[in-house]
Amino acid sequence: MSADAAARCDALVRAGEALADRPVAEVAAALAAACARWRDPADPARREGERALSEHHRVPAAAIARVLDAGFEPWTERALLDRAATELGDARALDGFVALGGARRMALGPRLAVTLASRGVPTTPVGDLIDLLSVKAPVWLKPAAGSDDLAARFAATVAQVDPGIGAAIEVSGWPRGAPHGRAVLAAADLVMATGRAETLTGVERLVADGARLVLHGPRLSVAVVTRSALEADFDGCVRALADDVAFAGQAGCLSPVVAWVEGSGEELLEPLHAACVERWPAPARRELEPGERAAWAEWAAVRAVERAAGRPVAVAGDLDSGWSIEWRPEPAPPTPPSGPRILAVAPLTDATESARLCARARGTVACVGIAGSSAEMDRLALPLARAGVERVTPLGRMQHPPASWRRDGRPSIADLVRWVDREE
Amino acid sequence: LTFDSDDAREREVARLDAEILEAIGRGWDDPPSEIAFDRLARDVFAHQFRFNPVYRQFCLLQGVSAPADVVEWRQIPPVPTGAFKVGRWATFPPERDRAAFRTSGTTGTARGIHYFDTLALYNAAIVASARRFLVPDRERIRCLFLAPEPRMAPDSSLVHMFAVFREALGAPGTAFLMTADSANAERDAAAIAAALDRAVADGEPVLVAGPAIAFHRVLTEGAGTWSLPADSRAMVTGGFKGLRTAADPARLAAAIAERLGIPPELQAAEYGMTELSSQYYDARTRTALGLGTDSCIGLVVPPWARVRIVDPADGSEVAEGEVGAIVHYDLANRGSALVLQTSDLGAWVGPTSFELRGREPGAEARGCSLAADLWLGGA
Repeated sequence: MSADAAARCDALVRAGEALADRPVAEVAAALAAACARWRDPADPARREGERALSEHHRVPAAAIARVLDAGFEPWTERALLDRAATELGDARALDGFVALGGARRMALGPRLAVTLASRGVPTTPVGDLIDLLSVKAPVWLKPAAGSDDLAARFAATVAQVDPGIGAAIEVSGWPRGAPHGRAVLAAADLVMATGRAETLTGVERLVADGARLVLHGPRLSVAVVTRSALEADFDGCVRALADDVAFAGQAGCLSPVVAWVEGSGEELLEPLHAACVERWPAPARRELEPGERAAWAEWAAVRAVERAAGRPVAVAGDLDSGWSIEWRPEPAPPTPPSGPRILAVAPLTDATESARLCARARGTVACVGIAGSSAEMDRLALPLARAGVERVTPLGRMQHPPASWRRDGRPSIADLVRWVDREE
Repeated sequence: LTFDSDDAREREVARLDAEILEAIGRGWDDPPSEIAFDRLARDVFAHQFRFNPVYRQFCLLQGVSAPADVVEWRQIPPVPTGAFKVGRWATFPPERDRAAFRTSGTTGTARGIHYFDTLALYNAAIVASARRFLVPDRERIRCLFLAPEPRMAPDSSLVHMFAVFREALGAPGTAFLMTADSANAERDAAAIAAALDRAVADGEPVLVAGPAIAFHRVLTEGAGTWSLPADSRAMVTGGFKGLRTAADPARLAAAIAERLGIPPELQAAEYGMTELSSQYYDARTRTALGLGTDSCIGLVVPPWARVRIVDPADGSEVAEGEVGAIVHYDLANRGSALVLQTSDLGAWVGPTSFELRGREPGAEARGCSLAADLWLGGA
């Protein structure tokens, strides 16, 4: 390990040791205070962050503001402590031995955590930081190449709010395969990584023996629009669907890649396209990098082939748009789109078919957002759960998971701690 | 198709195939002129326009209402590779099928099918390129394929290519060394080791050919080091993307040199795809053997094919060195799609050679290595 990296790891471990001696409530309060600043549109760091991210993602600041509002919304002091209490049985288990399940137990965060972020929703790496700091773990976060710098900005805010916690955060990267990075990974006793399957397989080979791996692999999401919801409030369904789809340019696993609509759904095409453009006005396809242009051009050409073959495929959004919405006559199991900002809309005879389709993509469906009554949601939730879906929520709320969200169907912080039992 | 049109089609096929085979046969030493290529390409286009109604409709949607609207080969409307997944993409009826190869794909993604009414063009293209870029120095060579036997992977175009190698170029000892089942990994490793041992003992050069991912598995999971006889060579195809494996091509090349004794200058890169009948090789092996003056930089376009590297937004050609999407013009694809639009990126590095510049984020993984990963149980 380079001297700099070794020194930084040592410093993080020391900061983590200091953090371990502080009450969990104090840590939660500091993290919540930092998040509150990022919820405040008037806060200078937030304003500067909006500007920088707007430039990075080439979208207006208002689009970034929606992402920041949603991303920082759940992180209140109460929510952080409630989550710890729910997942650990008692939040104070992070401070010392407490009576739990007939024994005295304590939960300890890792001595040094490394988190490898992927390019996607800007606030996702922030969530990783909050999860790990919530269990008083010092964190080295490696941003994805080419990603924005929201995690570093948030770390700076934490350092302003609470220098002690700030000292337990490092946000910096290293070139792929660099010995420096391998050494940092080898020094960690917990590695959290988000990314593609092959990336995660590569990570497994780099961590130290005995280190805990928390891997977040590829996931996708689905929207279901019931006939009753569409008839009751067509515009509301379009708004809710666009809010979920267009969030952060459909970069995250909670953005639907397909919308199944009871009835036809074809009537949604144009208004939905307009609503997505309004929410995340990404640059037109023709202005993108060659790779993205090529992927989209091939996708569009295949749609033309389908039309030539007599399939009633309809598409909204051309080279002059940053979004493409396609309507297909037959629903198919959800699969990753072949390019960014592509949504498929397909009809369902009955919304319950969604469970059968999700089951064919078992293990990959993070969330299903439903536009429908409570009774309809109740009717669908169990079959969807049995089909492998990890979260069922009203359409329009897909991008607003609560602090207690069990990402990938697993607890968020209970997976990060090590339990110690003290027996008499 | 009616009986009459089928008859007309067959007559046209016979004429076109004869001309295409002649163009392939001319090879690099006496390649077809630009005029001859253009005429033949437009004839093939007219054939595909006439006998593939979906392509005809597709052309109409692109504003090409008749073959005569195309005044040179560059104007022929390209077919996206994804068309092979939409439905049957062929100029002949199913009863004329002689072979079908499937594109690679993972669970949940559709696989395209490339149908052939004859393998004559495909096989001729395979042999011509392999002869020039892999085995230009001898009639036959012992081939060790890191792939399953054709009967175990009948829908793999790569395995078919190796079967053609075996017939046309293979010396005694040529063998397929892997099975299609990852449960046989130990048996495969033993077969590979034994074949390499025999090659070393016999002192005759060999060609070790396979997808990058198969080389990677063999060299990272197996043990042993061999010093294969002088002039032994490798053919490596496909990349690593889209696989449950992280690997580095430069490290793989170093491993092939270190573990098999095949120096990097004898490790030819091949680029092909199921939807194409022709392949592209770099010329390093030929150059290293002192048998040519081809630039050893980049993948060489064979004389019976053309490549355009275009701005995917409008199809205009990019300048030399600039990155664009690769469009293939392959006369040997007479029965399917003469012109293929891909989302693969490349850049010209010489008058007739180009380099791949990686696959764009989010693109569907495909290619020979993904197929190999399926054989090997990784995907």
